[in-house]
Amino acid sequence: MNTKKIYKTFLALLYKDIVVFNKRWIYRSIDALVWMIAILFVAHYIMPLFGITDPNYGTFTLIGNLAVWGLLEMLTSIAMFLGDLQGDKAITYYLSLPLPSSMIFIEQACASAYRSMASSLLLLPLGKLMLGDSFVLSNINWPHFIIAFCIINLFYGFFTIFVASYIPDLAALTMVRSRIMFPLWFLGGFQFPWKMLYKVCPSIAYINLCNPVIYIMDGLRSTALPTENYLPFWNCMGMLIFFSIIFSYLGVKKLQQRLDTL
Amino acid sequence: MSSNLLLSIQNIKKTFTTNVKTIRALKGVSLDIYQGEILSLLGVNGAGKTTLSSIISSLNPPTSGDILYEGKSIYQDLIDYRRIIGFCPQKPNIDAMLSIEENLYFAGRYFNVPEAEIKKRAQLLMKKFNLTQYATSKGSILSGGYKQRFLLARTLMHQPKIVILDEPTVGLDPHIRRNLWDVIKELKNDGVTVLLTTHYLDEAEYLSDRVCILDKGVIKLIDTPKNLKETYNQDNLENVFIELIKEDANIDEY
Repeated sequence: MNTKKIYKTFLALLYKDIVVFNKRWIYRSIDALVWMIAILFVAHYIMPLFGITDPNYGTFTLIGNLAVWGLLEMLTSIAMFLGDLQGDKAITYYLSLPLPSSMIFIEQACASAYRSMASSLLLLPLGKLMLGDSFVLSNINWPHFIIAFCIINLFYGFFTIFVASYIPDLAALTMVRSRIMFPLWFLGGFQFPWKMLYKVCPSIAYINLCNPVIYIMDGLRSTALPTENYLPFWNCMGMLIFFSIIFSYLGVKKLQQRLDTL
Repeated sequence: MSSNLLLSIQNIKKTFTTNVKTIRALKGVSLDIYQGEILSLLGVNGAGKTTLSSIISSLNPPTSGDILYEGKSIYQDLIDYRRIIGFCPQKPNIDAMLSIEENLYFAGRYFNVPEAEIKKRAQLLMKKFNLTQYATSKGSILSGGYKQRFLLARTLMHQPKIVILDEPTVGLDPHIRRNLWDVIKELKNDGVTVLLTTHYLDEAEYLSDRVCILDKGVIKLIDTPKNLKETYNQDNLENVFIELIKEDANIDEY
């Protein structure tokens, strides 16, 4: 087995998915922008009228939504994967390539991560444009932000193949949205940091440590907002890497079993 | 012929287990495939031909048995084996967002064809399969026949020794089918070994050096179309096949 050749095949496949996505990049970016404009408009211009006057609320919302965009993109990636299994079955062609099947599935996860990263690239500049002086770019710890952004989206990629491996068909996608994604999202610190939840209800806060979204939210927010309010950055990244390994292992095994591959 | 032995399929068994039942799709299939021949796998639905071709393509593992390529088990180095295989699936799974030539370029890259070689090879194949006019068009605009031509071109980008065609002409108009037959014949002339799965007996008769008739997961017959017609005293392969089915029905009734 020639490792270098396998590596080149893997990269060629990933590059193909990147080229394919880049042709649609503008449309997916517009989707993300429309979504963020609506949210920031409410958070920054309407919520203060209801008494939310914290100057960091806009940034809190922006970063939280940036963190959660990949979770929404997962639905698209899962739909693409299941649509292919039920339709053209491009996966059978990929499984005939000189790559172990596990690497085909890992490539799918990486491609999914790229799609959510690339489609959310314009969200930060948009946030600056809408929030103005209340979003201070120099407050962001950029190296941490970039590391978190990459790890979070890779996590989403691996979580995508894990979820997709257990979903029987496209019709079950609504179940994923309502039974898996929505609870993870809303209980995962989308509107509150973990430490705040801990103050109010420690038992639920501890249970919530099993929810990977809490590490996504706290991890990314800690790069742009006062760090003492959030879980430690490296703990969050460590946990996300841990969850990524678990989900990739389980997802790959399940897909190999489901597609009966070598 | 034995000196040209390319693949030796040895006692392949395949069992699918679901929650409700166990299906024995292949019950010990053994056959040899020779360099440069066209071998057709025939059989009624559920006979096991797609299962067998998927196992030979290395898409699925057998439950037991082995496949030897040049005397060595393919499972010892599956990745290297895949480099000599060209799998052409039944469904025209072209990447619709890419042009025809981009699709071909990527097919070459997947198999590590040198970059300088890829463009030459893609141009050659597009010319051979009359796809040049669609080179910059997206795959989605191709008609069924051209999609199938494209799939064959993609399969040949890395110059495989064995091409596995899974029902390549299903759903195509008769004149397009004929056209594809010529293309498949050309593969043989180029020294490529072709394993063809088909439902069309006229196709198998026209193209094949040998046909392998599978029935309920076992090889019922394997021979040249000419010998089969002589043995069963029939003028075409379709009648041979019908005779075989009648025999089966009689045995079942008995």
